[in-house]
Amino acid sequence: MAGSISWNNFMEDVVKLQQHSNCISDSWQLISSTADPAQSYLCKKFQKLYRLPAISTTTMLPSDEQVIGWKIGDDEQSVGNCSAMTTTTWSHGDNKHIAQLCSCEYHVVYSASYGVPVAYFNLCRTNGCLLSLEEVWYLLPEEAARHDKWTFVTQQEHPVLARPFFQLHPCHTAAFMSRVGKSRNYVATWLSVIGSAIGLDVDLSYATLT
Amino acid sequence: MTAMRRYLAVMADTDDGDASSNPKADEETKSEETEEVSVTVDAEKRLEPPTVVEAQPTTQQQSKISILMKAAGDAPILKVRKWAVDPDRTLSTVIDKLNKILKTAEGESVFVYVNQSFAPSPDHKLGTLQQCFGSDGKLVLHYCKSQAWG
Repeated sequence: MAGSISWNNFMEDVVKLQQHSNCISDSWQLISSTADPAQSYLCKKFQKLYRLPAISTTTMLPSDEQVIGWKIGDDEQSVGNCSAMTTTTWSHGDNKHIAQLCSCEYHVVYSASYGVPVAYFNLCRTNGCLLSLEEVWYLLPEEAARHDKWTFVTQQEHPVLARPFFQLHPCHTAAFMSRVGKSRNYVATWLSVIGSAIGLDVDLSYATLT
Repeated sequence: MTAMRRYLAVMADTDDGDASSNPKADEETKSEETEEVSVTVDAEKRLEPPTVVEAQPTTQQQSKISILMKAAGDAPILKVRKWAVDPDRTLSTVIDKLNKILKTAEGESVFVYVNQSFAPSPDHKLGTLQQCFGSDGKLVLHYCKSQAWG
């Protein structure tokens, strides 16, 4: 089918991408299991400061507030007491948002059903608490996150790890990939297109692969 | 340093005994002065070419760069294909403009590619992209419209 990729080509591209990642000190890693090579996937972990709405604190327990230092209302004291390393109040007197350091984990997994790579990701706070679906929708920059939330990113079971991960829906991946010109590295091209939609920075030097 | 030496030389001139007894020393100081001057002139000459080189990009940055928009896939061809844009603008401004021109519906997205195969992040400056992917001073961008997600 036009716009899809075979498993063998996927693995070739992924290996090249990972090699280039090593050259530029990017942190993509190829996780492969010796028992079942079909369960190989690309993985990237990094930390990033995100601006989260403080409204989500209403769902949290008081003990959690103390641990991670959520700012509630104008209670400056509680923020001052907790560790400045994990949470800082956003500047310019904005009480509705706080800056939260998040551990981000992005996976590129091959989907045999769609014949395309699929992006899985998880964001968690420094205390290990995962971000909720609403918070992830809020953070994603793409307009689609506002219109078609439920067909854009949802929580799914990770095909290899069997843990809940956020998944960028692969339904139309083959459609938009078929419109792209001839590329030497399908995965790098795909990653460059979807990266900006899920908050993943793809270095310009990956263009040398395509 | 040169001012100090001049002062010393003047002092030596005024002091008759020293000046008459030490003409060589006076010459030495003079020769040193001339050497130093020549060195500074050399340094200025050496500095000149880099400053000129530096000045060129700044003038280029002030002027606009030209972008050639090419349709990819089944995207409609634009009436105006050559755009002149400010290099400090980001790619997102181009995408916004394309969204307006192509009248993108909800759930559709416009993608912009360099090299026909790589979609840079929208926060990249057009000047940077032109330096990396431009040819003959022009940046060729391919665009296509597609239902992207879901």
